[in-house]
Amino acid sequence: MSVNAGIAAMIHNPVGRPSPRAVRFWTLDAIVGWTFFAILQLAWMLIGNYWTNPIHLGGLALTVLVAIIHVSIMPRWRYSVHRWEVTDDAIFVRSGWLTQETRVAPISRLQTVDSRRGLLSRIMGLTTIKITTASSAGALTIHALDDAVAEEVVARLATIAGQNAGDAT
Amino acid sequence: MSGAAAATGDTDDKPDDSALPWIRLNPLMLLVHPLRELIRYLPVIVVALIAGSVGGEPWWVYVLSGFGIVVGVLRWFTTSYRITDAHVQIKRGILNRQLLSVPRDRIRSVDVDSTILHRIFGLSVVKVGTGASHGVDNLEFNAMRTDDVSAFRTEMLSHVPRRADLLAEPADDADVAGRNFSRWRPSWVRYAPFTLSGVSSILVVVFFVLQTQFFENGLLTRLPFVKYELARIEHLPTLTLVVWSMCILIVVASAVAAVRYILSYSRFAISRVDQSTLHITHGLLHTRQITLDERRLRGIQLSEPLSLRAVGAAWTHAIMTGLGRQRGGVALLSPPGPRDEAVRIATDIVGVERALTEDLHQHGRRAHRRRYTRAATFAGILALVALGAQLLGWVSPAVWWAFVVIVPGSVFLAWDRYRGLGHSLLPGWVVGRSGSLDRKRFVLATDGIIGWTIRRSLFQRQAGLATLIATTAAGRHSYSIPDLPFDEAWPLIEAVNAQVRATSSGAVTPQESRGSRSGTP
Repeated sequence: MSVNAGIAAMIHNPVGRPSPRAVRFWTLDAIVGWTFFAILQLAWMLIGNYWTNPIHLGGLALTVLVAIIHVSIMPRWRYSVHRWEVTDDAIFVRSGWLTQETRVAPISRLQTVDSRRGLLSRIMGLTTIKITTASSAGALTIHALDDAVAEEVVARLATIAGQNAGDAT
Repeated sequence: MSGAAAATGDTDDKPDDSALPWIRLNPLMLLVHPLRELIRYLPVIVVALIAGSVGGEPWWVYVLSGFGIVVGVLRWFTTSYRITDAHVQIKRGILNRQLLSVPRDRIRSVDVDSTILHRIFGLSVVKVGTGASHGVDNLEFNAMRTDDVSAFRTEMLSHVPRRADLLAEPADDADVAGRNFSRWRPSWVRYAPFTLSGVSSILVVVFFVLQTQFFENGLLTRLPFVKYELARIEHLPTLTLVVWSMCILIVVASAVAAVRYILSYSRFAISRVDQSTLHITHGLLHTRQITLDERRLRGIQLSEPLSLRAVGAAWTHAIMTGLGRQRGGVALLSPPGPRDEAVRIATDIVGVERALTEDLHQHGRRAHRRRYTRAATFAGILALVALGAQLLGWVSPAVWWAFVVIVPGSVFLAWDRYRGLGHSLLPGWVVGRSGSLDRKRFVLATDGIIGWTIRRSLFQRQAGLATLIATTAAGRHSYSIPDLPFDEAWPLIEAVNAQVRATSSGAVTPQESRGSRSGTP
């Protein structure tokens, strides 16, 4: 299959999705981030004794409001957008929610394959794969895969990359 | 992948190699390195001395300076190199020792880069590169005698195959200078005030002046002599005041820009050593010399910011691999000067005049409307800020006069931005252009593109538009075509891929297809 046919197939029929647990993962991840931010705000209020200052109270209320909107909208939206596929010729990744990105790179240009697991994703059994090319602007990230699926993908990419010679620039 | 492999995999020498002694770099670097370290700490030292004059002896400044000198001296003692039959090797590092070894047949480029300090001592920094994308395995010789560089370069590049019919004699420096085909003249300094650096320094000064106008206790007005001057000119009519300050502003900013222009671009010369090698040198204080061979060339970028365009000027850069991103991965091909000249040089290098001059495929009605929506949003945000500031009593109502300029200004920018927006696909090259205040046209080799990104914001999705980004291992690493109709994005990617496949499987290699250029001048 040529790169073109591969791309065409992928646009019309993108198969890979993140793990179903990804929604919960993104929710928890966002909650952790917002909680940390709110704690910082509270600490500032505590240190300066600003409990009755309307600007500080307003800021805290705004944080809570934005956090609730973000946490309730972002994870499902993300899940509906994210797609990935690895064919014999190309890698295809779609991600994002408000701003969405689709990235394509021919397999022959692949340089390194990196799997990452943070604390939260380890607990939930999820892996994120980062595939780099010779361009520092061209990395492809497949978010929140099941550990088993991720292992399979990494093994497959390693085999394919081994078959390609050249410096991929 | 070549870089890491070259640096670590080839360290086991052949027996005959190991007999060669390791050589140190030029001993004058024992002076240059410490001086450089001191200059690097200079801002800290100055601040400390000023602060120190108020309270206590700044003993730690002496410690810092001493540390800098020691590090500088150690750097010379810990760096050595040798050139064997098969490899160029360099050992360096004070705490983390590092051995870099590059097989000689991989060497593709020899760049020379010298700061004013090096030049005072007659030294040059020589960078030997393999043409790999990130420049990780670039060997840096800091420094050797400038007189030896020419011979060193010839030796390093001696194995690089050249097509016999194009072969030129290895040129010495005088010869190379004689083949300069740039038409740079010192009189081009007249374009300096129109470069972005000139314009931005004007903007900075304007900002400060505005601060004194609208904020009654602005930073500047607190300075005693400014206070005095302000009191003196207070009774002058406002119009006279504005005209005078504009004149002074323009003169000062132009002078600054002219000095910068002369320092960076003086004696600009571009010479063809042979069909695949160009030497580019420029600069009064800091000189650079770049070997540009077509294995490294991925394209050209033509910059024509609004101010330069207004006087018919432009400048060009080569998009190359292996230059490192800290300099933006580009090599200057022609400094700000007449547009025709910029196009002539660029055409000589890419060999396709159309790529630089031809009208581009425009992005249509929706992209057009988006330019105006965004201009209106910008003006709207400014209006909200002005309104807020006025309600809080921070500024006088006179601030609304600024909108006499802002509103027509944004409409003009929207019009100009749309007029500049476009792309086209030529055999072997993708061309894209965008921007107005900082308009850039890039010409990128299709076989240098190593991936694509299609980015769509919420608003772009509603408008059916997309930003198409080509990623590459050279230059800025990503070149974007903004607000392309979404349904044209995939066909464009497919067309480029089809071209690359045709060239790589067909009889014509990418090198040859790009090598068919207009010949030596």
